[in-house]
Formats: sequence, structure tokens, C-alpha cells
Amino acid sequence: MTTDPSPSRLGQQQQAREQAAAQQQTGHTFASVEELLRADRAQTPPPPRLAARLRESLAREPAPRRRWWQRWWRR
Amino acid sequence: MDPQVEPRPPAPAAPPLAGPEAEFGALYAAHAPAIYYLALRLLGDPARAEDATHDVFLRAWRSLSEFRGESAVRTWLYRIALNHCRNLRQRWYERARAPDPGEAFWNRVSAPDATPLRVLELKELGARIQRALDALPPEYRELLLLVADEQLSYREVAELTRQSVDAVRGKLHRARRAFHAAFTQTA
Repeated sequence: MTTDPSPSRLGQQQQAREQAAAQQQTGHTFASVEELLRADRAQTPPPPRLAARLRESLAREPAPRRRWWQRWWRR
Repeated sequence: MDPQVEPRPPAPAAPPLAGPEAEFGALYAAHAPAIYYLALRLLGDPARAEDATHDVFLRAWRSLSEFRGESAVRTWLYRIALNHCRNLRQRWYERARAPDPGEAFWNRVSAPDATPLRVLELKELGARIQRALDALPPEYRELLLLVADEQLSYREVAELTRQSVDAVRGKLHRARRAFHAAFTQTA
């Protein structure tokens, strides 16, 4: 089956192509160094295996001596 | 009903952590991304950053009894991470690196710090940031990475870098300009 796109549909497609081309030219813009670093941090998570590796290491360690520190955990 | 065909509840994958281990797991989940990122950009190598992050949390576990709660947990972890990464850099990198041009050089850089920074592809972001940070004096590098963490106040950054808040503000201005100049050169 063939479709005959309407003029409005063609206009939308043309607009989308222009937006994509403009995005390719300008790329991503960051207002500050901090914003740039935050974007980088957001796409750079720690490797998933690190948590398991740490858990194995902690299992070989003696438990901490005092428990009063627990109230500070979530600060 | 035949007991052999009776559906059994699925076996738990692993017993849930309890006590200090569970609390520490929550702490790791909350702060590991920030600590890993700091280590990655200070050391410039994913494998070394992974090792450093592991060691930071292990040291934190071992020194729990010394944590007096005078600072936020995140600041405490950052302090351990900064000391650890500084030691590693001194041991591994400084001998092999070209001499640092020094703060005076970057103070003369005329790049603006208020113009937007552009990248075409987000996937190129990490490599360009790393090259730009590597070109900066270590003090500027640390300041920028710490200030980029929204959870740290200027006062906490000042404590971590052992200087006054005013000094942080002044150096941060120069650090941003230096980063702009270095980042532009990586394009």
C-alpha cells in the first residue's frame, strides 16, 4: 500500500530534518564548567562489579566496634 | 496433592544484609557515584579509579570508629578519597609527567569563563574533560570537581582543600577560566 503524505505531514518531516541538522551542528551546550562536569558524572557511573568486590572485601573485615555512627549515615 | 509437584516458593537469591553491612550498603549506593567520578577524573584511568573507590570505602569501613560526625558523611568520604588519590598520583604519575606550567601561567590565560561550552557528541565528553583537567594544576582540578557536586557547600569545599571560602571563590574563578581555555583546545 502506498501513502500520499499530506502537505502538513511533509512540512512536519521537513521541520524535523532541519531540527536534527541544527542539533548536529550545535551539539550540546553547557552554561558552566560545573554543568559540564555534572553531565559527565551522570554518564559515568561506577562499574557494577565494584559493589560486589567491596562486599567481598568487607566480609573479610571485622565488624566496626561502635554503633553510634549509624545515626550519621544518612546525612 | 503430590508434594513432588507442589510449587515451591522461589529460593531467595541471597539473604538480605542486616546491621552495619546494610547501613554501609546504603552509604555506598548514595555516595559511590560521586567518589568514583572524583577518582576517575583525578587519576584519569577507569581501572585505577575502581581500585581507588574500593580502597576509599574499605578505609571508611575500617575507620568508622574514628568518624565523629563533625562533618557530613559525603565530606568525610571525599576527604579520604582526596588523600588517597593525591598519594596515588604522587606515586604513579608525577615522575612521568611533563612539568606543570604552574598557576601563574593559567592566571594569564585570557579565555572567558562565561561563554557556553559546546560538544557535538556526549560520548566525546569524558575524553575531552579528562584532557582539559589533566592540563590544569592539581589544585584547580580538585576545586572544579568538588564544586561541581551540588551536595557540597563552598564552606565544605574550603575545608576539604584547607583554605578559606574567599580563597576558594578566587581560585575557582581562575580555575574556570583555565578549564575553558584547556577544554577549547581539546576540540
